[in-house]
Formats: sequence, C-alpha cells, structure tokens
Amino acid sequence: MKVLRVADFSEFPGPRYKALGPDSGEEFREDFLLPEIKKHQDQIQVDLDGTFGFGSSFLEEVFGGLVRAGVEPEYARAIARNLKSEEDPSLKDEISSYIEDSIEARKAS
Amino acid sequence: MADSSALTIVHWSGWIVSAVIAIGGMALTSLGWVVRGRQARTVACRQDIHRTIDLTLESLDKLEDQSISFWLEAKSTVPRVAIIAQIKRLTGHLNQLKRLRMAEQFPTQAISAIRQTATLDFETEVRPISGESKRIQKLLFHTQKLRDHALLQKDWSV
Repeated sequence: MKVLRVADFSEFPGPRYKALGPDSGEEFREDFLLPEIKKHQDQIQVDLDGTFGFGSSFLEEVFGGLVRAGVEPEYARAIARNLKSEEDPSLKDEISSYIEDSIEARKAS
Repeated sequence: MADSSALTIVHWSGWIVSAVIAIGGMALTSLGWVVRGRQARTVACRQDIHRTIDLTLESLDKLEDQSISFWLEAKSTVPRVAIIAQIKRLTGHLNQLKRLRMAEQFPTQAISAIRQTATLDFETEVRPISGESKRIQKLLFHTQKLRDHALLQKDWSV
C-alpha cells in the first residue's frame, strides 16, 4: 500500500483553495493525492501525523473534494478507513463525514 | 546427661523463636514498604491525571475564547493559525490523559465538532457573525460536551 504523508507535502497545511494561500487543501488534492491515486490503483494510505494541525476547510477540500473530482465513493470511503492519525483520532471521523456529505450531494445533483 | 539435652533444647528453641520473630518482622516491614510504594504510585498517578485534566480544561477554555473572539469581534487579533495550534495542544493533552487513564475513550466526536465549528470556512466566511448564530451556539454546545466527557472528570476514589 502506498503511504502518502501530508507532512511531506507541508508541515503547515494551509487554507481551502490555492488562491487563499500556500499549501492549500486544493493543492494537496490536485497535485499530490489525485496523481497518486491515478498511479497506484491499489489502496493509498494518507498519513495525517507530523503536521502543525489542520483547519476543517483543508480537510473538507481534500477529502470531500475527492468525490467532487470524480473519485468513486467506495474508493474514497476506503481512503477514509485507511487513514493514519494517531496524534488526533478525531480526524478520521471528521473526514469520513465530509466524504459521506459529498457522496450525498453528488447523488442529489 | 538429661539436664544437658534439656539445656540444648531450651537454647535452640530460644534461638528459633528469635529467628522467627526477626524474619517475621522483616517480612512485615517489606510488606509495609510494598503497600506504601503502591499507595505512593497511585497518589502520584492521580495527581498526574488531575494536573493533565486542568491543563486540558485550560486549553479548551483558551480555544473557546479565541474562537469566539475570531468570529464575533470585528477587530479580533486572533489569527487563524492560533486556533489550529490551540486545537493541536488540546488534542495533545487529551492523548496524554487517555494514556494516563487507559480505560477511557478519546472524545473524537466532540473534538471533530469543535474543530468544524471553529475552523470550517474560516478563511472565506464573512466576519463578524452574530452571537446568536448557529456556529457560536454549536461551538459552545460542543465545548461544554467535551468538559462533561468522562475523560475530563476528576476522581478521588482510586
């Protein structure tokens, strides 16, 4: 399983959109996560430990944004299940809720 | 001859009684030290737990104050990064507390809800917001829920 450490992208994850500042959730999703998903068809583990901390906007944009970017719901759910977050176990629940909200929104549209 | 053997028996039995008393005394003293050591460890552990609970509650109070200032005050000096740092400190204290208390669960739902109400769209949403807004109500609700969590309750019964 390919492990993708957010801390390797940035120790200081930033805002939601690229336009709002450096190390954004949009940048992580577009330039790091989605290319890795395309490269590795098997599962990916995103490691959230080792950073300064996350704002919810960053998390929503990365993981809710995966579904909006066309990633299959089951694949997005598997990414949430495989998350590594020992420093803050609450991140898994929050990310799962963003993925489920995005799936619901996609179904509704 | 009989007198001599009686004397020997008296001599040895006296010695044996003394030895038994001495060994028994040492055993009781050792047991006392073990019990005392365990009590001292329990007291130290309880003090550590209570100190960490105090630190966690201080951290939570600060996070609540910073978030309220950020969202309600037009000229708030609280930067976004301070709120993220405070959440990190809070989760660090909670992790420490979970390790000390062992049996208690990490309050994932409360932390997740607090982070969401404090930081979701905090870069883009128009501020200040009303003190009656759902965001502020939810923030206060979830911070209180965390204060009421079993992990943060002091206990003197151990």
